[in-house]
Amino acid sequence: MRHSRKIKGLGVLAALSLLATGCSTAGNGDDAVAADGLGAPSAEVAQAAKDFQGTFSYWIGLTFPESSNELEAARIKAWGDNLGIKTDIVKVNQNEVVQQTSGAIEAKSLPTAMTVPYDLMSTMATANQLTPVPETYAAVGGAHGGWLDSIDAATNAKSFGGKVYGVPFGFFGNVLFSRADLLKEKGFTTPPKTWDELLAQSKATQDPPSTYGMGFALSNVLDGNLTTSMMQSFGGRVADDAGQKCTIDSPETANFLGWIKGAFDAGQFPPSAVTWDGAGDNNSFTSGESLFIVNTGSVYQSMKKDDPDLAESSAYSALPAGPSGQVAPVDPRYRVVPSSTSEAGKILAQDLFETLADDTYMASFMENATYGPVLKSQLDYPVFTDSPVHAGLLEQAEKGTAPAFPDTANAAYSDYQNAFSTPRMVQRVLVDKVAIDKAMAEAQASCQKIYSQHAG
Amino acid sequence: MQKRGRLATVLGMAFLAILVVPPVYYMIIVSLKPRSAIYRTPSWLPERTSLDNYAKVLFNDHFLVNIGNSLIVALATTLLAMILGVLAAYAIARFKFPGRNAASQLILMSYLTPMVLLFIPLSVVVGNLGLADTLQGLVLVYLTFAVPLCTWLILGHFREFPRDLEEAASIDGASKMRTLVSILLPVSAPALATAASLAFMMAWGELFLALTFVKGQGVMTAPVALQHMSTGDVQQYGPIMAGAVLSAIPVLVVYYISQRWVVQGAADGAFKG
Amino acid sequence: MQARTEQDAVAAGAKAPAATAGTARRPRKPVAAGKEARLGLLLVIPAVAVIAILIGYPTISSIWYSFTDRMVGSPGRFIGIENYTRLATDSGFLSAAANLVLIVGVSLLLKLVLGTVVAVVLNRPMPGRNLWRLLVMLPWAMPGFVAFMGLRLMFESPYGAINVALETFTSPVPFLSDPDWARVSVVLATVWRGFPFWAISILAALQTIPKELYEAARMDGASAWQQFVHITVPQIRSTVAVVAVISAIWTANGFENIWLMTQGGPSTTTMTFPVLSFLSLQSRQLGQAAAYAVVILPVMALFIMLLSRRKKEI
Repeated sequence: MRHSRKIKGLGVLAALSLLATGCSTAGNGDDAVAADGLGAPSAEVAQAAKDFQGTFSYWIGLTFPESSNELEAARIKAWGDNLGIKTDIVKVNQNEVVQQTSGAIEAKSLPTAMTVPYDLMSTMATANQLTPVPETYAAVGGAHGGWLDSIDAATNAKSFGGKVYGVPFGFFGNVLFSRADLLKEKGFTTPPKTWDELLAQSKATQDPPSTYGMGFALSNVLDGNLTTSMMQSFGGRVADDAGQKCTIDSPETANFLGWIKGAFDAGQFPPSAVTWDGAGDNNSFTSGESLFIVNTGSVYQSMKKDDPDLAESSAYSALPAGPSGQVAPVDPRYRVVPSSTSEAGKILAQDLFETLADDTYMASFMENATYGPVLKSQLDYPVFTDSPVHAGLLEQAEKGTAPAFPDTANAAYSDYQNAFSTPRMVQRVLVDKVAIDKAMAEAQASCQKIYSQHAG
Repeated sequence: MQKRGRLATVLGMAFLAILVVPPVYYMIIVSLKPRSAIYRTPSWLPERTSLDNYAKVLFNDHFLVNIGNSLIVALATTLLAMILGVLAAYAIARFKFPGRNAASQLILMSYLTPMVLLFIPLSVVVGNLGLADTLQGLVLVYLTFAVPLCTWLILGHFREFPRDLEEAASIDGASKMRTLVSILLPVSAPALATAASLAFMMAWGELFLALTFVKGQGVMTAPVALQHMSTGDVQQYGPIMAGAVLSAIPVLVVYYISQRWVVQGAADGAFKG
Repeated sequence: MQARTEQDAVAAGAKAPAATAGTARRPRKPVAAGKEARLGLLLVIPAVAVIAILIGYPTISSIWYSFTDRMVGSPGRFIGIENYTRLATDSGFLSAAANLVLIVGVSLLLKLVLGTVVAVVLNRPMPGRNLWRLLVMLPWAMPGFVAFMGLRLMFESPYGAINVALETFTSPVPFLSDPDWARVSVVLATVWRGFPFWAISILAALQTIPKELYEAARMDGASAWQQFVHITVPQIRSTVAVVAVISAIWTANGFENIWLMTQGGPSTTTMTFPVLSFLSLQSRQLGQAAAYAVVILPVMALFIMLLSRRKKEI
């Protein structure tokens, strides 16, 4: 009998807890920047705010450091308060954005608007899951000195059929971090311009097992996709110009695989690079293990706080070139409106995108984050001269290549990348010691499966 | 004999300590260190320790809200799964009805489906019910593993338990449901406690489904909130381990309580019939 | 099935010496049958309904997906068994199949041994026994992903805790990046995280063994080992069978353990079906992802059936 009383007590507790489920918490520190430039809305927007039903939900992409996410959330809330609509800001981790969006698409529970990486914008646009936003794209560009060429090329890519599906606000780039202090001791005073130079500097400077030259992830994580850019700079291509037929199996790819195998077998990579997680390169560089890493800049932000000496003694430069030139793709981040959003929601979302492009706000946001510039007005933000990593991103904005270049950017390419296809092929050669031809043939087959699915 | 017994006890304790303590100790040490110390100068010694990570997790990240959410979800999941499980197990173990074998096979087999695969079709179900991004939705989703688990564990126990007591009660005129509540359940305390604490712990620590089904700050469970502490490619080991230490406490409390039931159940002497 | 249950009841009768085996065989009163059937159905329906809606529907959808080229957000076409025929040449698939035996099998064996030993130790009188029981729960009490993240911090090279401890004896051991070590590390991590489940389940079974059995055995002069083999093992065998099945399914379907330790790498050395499935989902290929997950269902079902035939309790 005693037991059943206890069980009953637990039941009441659980029932009470279930009732409490409805409650939620909110609240964020306000900021003058967050509310900057919010004026009276246009008649159309005011009407849309009146018509809009429910809560305006926005998924922001969670990035490092946390302060940038908080600033963005505060800005969106201030915008909503100004219009008298309820906002709900959901922070989605970059690592799970594909999984979460997939679930939400199938469940038809996408938010009113959201931030997505280029690949996801591309795949969602091709599947008619996004609303075209050409006017807002033009308006934001016009108000801020115009879009940078590489960004404009990416946004207006052929595969979108002349439509614009998102408003970019910044891009993730690739900056080569190098241990200038150690390299200088061996007489290397300028950062490597080519992959071969990098290999030579690495061989001369590294001192295993305490230091290794090439701290590039070779594992099944997004960082591992650097190998796709390397392959392309060696002339290897994922697919043909039409973006339909895979062309992985090529002499150029073989050449690249031979090169990277040579470097790996010569012990230039930290042994653990084949199973690094997303933070592997970060941890390796900050622990002093790697001489070179390629990173978007988050490593710099964390070093500045935790290890300013290391930040000081490192150099930051553009990605090295291969025999076929430099491949340093910009990875723009887009604000998009799902096609499932109501008409009023679409108008509001586009008003929000313009609000978020405000220069005072953006200058402060970029100070806090590790994005490269996409608009000409952004080039003048102090952070792009003050911080060496941001300066590197600025350089990439002007000289870098469009997403997927020299390949054709389309949904199939994005899915190829999201499956970590190139690093998996590279690991077949490096770890499983499979013949280069066999590894290429396997990668070719799984690549073609992805491309065929999109063609059908 | 006495001496050998004491030696065995000491050896046993040493074995348990060596098995469990080192990783746990290291995780606690990490939770006390600043980020730079974890990789730059890794060490087993508590150097440069502070409670900063705990302060950040508790006060900046409002982690107690997430702990509360996890508690709600885990308790509700456990309660519902136990009710459904006890009823189904009782029916399968003690009643003859059409489809009994099919039901028991279904429950067993339903356990096979990998969660990695379930989450997309499940999000359609939860979306259609209008429960996307709510704790209720997550509880529903967790029933997918909790109901088969509880049913199955309890079923195994009911089948093993001799029927004499119940049959005696039914001769005395007690109804079937009365027999369940007043005879079978009390003597099944250890099995019930085990099933309940397993369901609780699985719901408590689940991450993969929670990531898809609860996104808002107010409804995130503890594991999701911990996962969100690593943003981009910067792992916040210190705060995450601090959060882990904090979120282990409720589970230990639950287990401690359930252990007392187990001991109590055994002491009641019900097993001797 | 019915006969089997009756036998079980008899077998279980041995556990409770006072139970009279005869009563379990007593024929049911036929009068109650109709009412009983109705009540039985009523009791089982809620659980079956939950399973049918929340698992049955998704599982059937997944099996259907696996025969299509469905992608996220588009229904796709029926393509027959193409998603399956591809697997024959897929290095990831072959590795995952091998690991189903290697990683899952070895983890299971280790968990059985460790779980039993720990349960036996915890069942003995010892100072602070309740605290020890709590301590053993720790690997299971923290959220799974945190446990594996912490274990990754231990296994990493060269800055992982184990390598730091071994610093004076050896150069860094590539626990996660050497193919052989990676398998060992993943198994050890999986076992460490999972053994408390075995330990507490077996402990619960140990606690239900009547003390008189041991007392009688001791009077007959049986050694501790003989008591273990002749009393303890038979009494916990059914629990172990159930635990083994649950644990096998968990380990075979486990995602976090592999994903957080090695992402299935290096290359495909520690690849498992859930990880392959997840990788396909990343490129939104629902059909292929479903095929990876569906293909092990018959294997698991067979495993369970074999076990349930041998151990009649299931």
